[in-house]
Amino acid sequence: MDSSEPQILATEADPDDAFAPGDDGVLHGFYQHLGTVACGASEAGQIGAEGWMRSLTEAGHADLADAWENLGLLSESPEALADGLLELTWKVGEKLRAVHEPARSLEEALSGWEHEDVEEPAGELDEQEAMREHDVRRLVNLLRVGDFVEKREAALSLGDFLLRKRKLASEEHYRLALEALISNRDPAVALEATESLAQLGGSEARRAKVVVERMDAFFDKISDRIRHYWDGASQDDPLDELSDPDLVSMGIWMRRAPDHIAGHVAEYMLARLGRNETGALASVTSAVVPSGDPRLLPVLIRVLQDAGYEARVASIKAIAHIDDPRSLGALRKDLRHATDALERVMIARALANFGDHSGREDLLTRLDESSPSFVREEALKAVGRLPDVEPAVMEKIEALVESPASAIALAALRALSLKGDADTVERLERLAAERVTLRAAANRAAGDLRARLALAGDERFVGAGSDLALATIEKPGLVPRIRSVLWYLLGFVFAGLHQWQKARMAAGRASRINSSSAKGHFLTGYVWIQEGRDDAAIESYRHGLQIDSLFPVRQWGEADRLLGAYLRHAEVLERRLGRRDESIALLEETEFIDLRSADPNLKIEVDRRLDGLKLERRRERLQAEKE
Amino acid sequence: MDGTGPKTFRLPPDSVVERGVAIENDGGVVGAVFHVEVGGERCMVYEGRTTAGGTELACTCPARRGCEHVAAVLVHMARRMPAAPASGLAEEPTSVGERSSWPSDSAISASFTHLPAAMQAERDVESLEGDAARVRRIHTVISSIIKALVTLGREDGRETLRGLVTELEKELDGVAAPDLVRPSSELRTLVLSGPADPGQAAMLMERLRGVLGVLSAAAEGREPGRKLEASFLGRRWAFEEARRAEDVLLLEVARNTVLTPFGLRRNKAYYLDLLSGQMHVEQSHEQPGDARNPSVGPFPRRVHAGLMMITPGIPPAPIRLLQYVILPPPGEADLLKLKKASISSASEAFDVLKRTVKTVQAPYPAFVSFSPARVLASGGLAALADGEGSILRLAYRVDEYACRSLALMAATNRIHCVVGMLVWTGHEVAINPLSLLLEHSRGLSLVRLR
Repeated sequence: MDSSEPQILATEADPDDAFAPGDDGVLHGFYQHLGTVACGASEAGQIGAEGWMRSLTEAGHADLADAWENLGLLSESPEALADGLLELTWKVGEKLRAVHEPARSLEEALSGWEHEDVEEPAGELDEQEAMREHDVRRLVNLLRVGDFVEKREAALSLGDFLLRKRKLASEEHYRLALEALISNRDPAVALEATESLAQLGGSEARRAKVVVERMDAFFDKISDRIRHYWDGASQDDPLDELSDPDLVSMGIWMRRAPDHIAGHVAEYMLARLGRNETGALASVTSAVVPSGDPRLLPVLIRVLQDAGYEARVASIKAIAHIDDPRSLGALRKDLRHATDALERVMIARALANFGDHSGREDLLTRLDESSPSFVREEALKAVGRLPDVEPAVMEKIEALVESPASAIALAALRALSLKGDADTVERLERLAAERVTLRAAANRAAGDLRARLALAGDERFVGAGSDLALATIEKPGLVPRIRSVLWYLLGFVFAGLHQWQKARMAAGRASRINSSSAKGHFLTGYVWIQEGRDDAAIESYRHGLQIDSLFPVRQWGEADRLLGAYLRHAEVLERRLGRRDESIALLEETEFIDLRSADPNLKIEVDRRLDGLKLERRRERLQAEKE
Repeated sequence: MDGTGPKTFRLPPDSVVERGVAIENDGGVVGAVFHVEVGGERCMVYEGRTTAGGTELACTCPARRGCEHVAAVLVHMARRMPAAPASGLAEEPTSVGERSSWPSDSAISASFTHLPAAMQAERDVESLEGDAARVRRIHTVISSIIKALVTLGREDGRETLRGLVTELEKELDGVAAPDLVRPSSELRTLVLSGPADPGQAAMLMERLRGVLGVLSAAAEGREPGRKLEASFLGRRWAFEEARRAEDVLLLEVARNTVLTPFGLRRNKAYYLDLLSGQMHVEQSHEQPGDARNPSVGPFPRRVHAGLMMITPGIPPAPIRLLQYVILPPPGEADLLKLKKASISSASEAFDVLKRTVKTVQAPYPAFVSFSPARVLASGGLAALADGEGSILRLAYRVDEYACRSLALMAATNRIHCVVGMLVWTGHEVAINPLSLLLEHSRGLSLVRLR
């Protein structure tokens, strides 16, 4: 290379820069060259080299060419050279800023870009395209097993399809789309699914409209209180007055809230952060986990950077639900700093949800037996999001399905539902048939896996029903079945008359006559709840679920009742009896029940309590280890 | 523990201490000023307050306390100061087991930009005003760094440069002068990080030229320009030097509380005067991350300032709200005033930057609210275009994630205004967005990006 030619060190050339040719190009190149000189990367002999003098002169910058020449003359005196370099760099920078940018037209600046104008909304969907059967099925499957972004988009697309194509769609597709939205109770998608339903006609739409109106009224009320709080009329923070269920509802529906409510929630979190109230901060942070509200992202990132352990862990989950590049940046940064094993695994899991696998090694190493069970559980939940998982790892996951620790077994099932193949579907179905305790979870995992394989284009699973009929207990003859139904109905009547003991006896009789029916057990559970015996109700529900794990899915309201009993009893165990481990085990048990039709608020409440209890237990253990 | 007795710091667990020893062995603790760096990342260890009112060493890394950086500093202190009570640590650091005590060192307090009130009286190093000797020392060190960079080179002179940069940081320690501290932080990055970006190196040289100009003027007793003094020298303003304004209606249009590369937390709020269309900034000094900031109200705020002080400074005019009330949230009419007050031409925006740079005599960010005619995107990148087709790039080099976030929001919302800092990145003029005025299905919304 001719050293007299203008040059920038090859490593420092920036191919992304699409600077227009001409004067600006020479100036820019020269500015970069001065940068290399400032780092001492340019040999002393190059300073004042003629190539740049010629180019600068030709480009009409004779003053800069002279200054460059003078700089070469100063090479013997380091002080003078440094001063000269500073002045020259300033002059070139000033010229660049003055002449370069305004001269760039749109066409010049975007030369080489395949540019598109993103301001216009996406065009109308092609009607025929949207009507195609596989599109509806694809959306339904995405709503079931997609990541949270895909689920939200699928819910909106299904709502759009139902609204605009009612007359054109076949009855089958219409029902398929409608049922998918009705049955979806994922808290992260509850807002989209309910808003989509509320636009339609019919009973389901009325129910959804009621929910939407209730939440709008709730936000109006909170909004007024927040105004009063900030104008000094009230000293009590409105969020402190919210009950836990209301806090959770607010989190789920946050994206519908006005800006100043989101702003107040952020300020509330900052105030707790400032006062080191980690527990309260963790509670509100975990309530906003499903919100996915980008308005809360700056404060969540701050919680991640500054807060105590429980709040940090909750903020990782919340950030992982916000589809925003800033989430990725914050999580990547935190992964570089985090030292705690659980925190690292949770960050890696969150990153994996965004398609970033930089925490892969962390996750795979935490699958080993040497890892604490809660860390292993989180690693298992995350490993399904990794691509190209080795067969040895898959074998390890399959073995963990047999783990005596229920949380580990459940997490292993989830991992299989994400990473399994067609053979895995069969294995899961077998497991659901053989193992009563794992039935609902294995059934759900198999359904998810079928949906996932259908999405991947496996024809065997396209159009397949998502759930299995799992009547493994032999049914009695017709007469006993009719007798059982009659006793069940009688129990129902007694329950309606508040004659709880007689209702229980009738329901018990119904169960004994037809041992293949779960109805009697669920009615017994209902009666026990009315009598204030949640522990006995849970026992009845357990019997019922062993017979028919999908009963709470089919029977409207049953899942909420069941979950309510678990939550109340867990609270009694923990707060009144101080049996935290039993409380955790009880709440973990709900993970094995198919609760997809349950109220999202209740599901979030279970997650919040479970997280809180587990983290509290962990903190105490770590404290004990330290001491 | 009373406030006058020896202060105690609890050591982290042994396993963490061992990692801290390793960091210290690798020279990770740079000087006694508690700046700890590990593989290019750096953080600051400082004396923090516990909830019980005591003191402990805290760190600006996400672990906050009990981390290996704290451990590294403790080991470092033990090795450097054997006469201290916990001198058992000095002989054999790996046998650190006594979680006993360590006296508070004045160097810890010197690490603060903002001091607890009780310590405020003990020192007077917040400002360089009147400290001509120190100003001269800083000038000399910066000149030496530039000389060493040019003559020795970044690679050959690494050790010399590291020592000089550390010396500079010691001199700047505790000085509330962000525009001196920031180039110092950038110098460390330039000296220690991987391949240098020549554009950014050149830009840093420009900044240092500006810094040296201000320092020269201050050392010689000349006026470097009133607007520059606060941010370059940490000068405190006398009340009579400020203007006062009464009954001003303000709309908060952006807020910036990000962590700086130096491990400090920014705390700035930008306002639009709804009547005059003037922009203002309310700026607290950068401070350690867990400083107890009072809650200031939900963003975006509408504020009635009964009494407001406008201090001299680099535009937008710095203010302090002395008496104010927070009003009900802004309506669409208020938000549209932001659009009305925004610049809609790229050339005008560049003019604002040019004026700021001319004032500061260094590449300095200019606060602008830009109203684009269109948002253009290509392959995940976005740019703003004005009505004449001139474009304003986004500062992906400065905050890639905020810029990508803008591109994502632009895909589903109409962007009326981008409020941010117009910066010269060493390669191009670009806008680093702080907040956006969006129009979506529910109306107008002002969204913070940081």
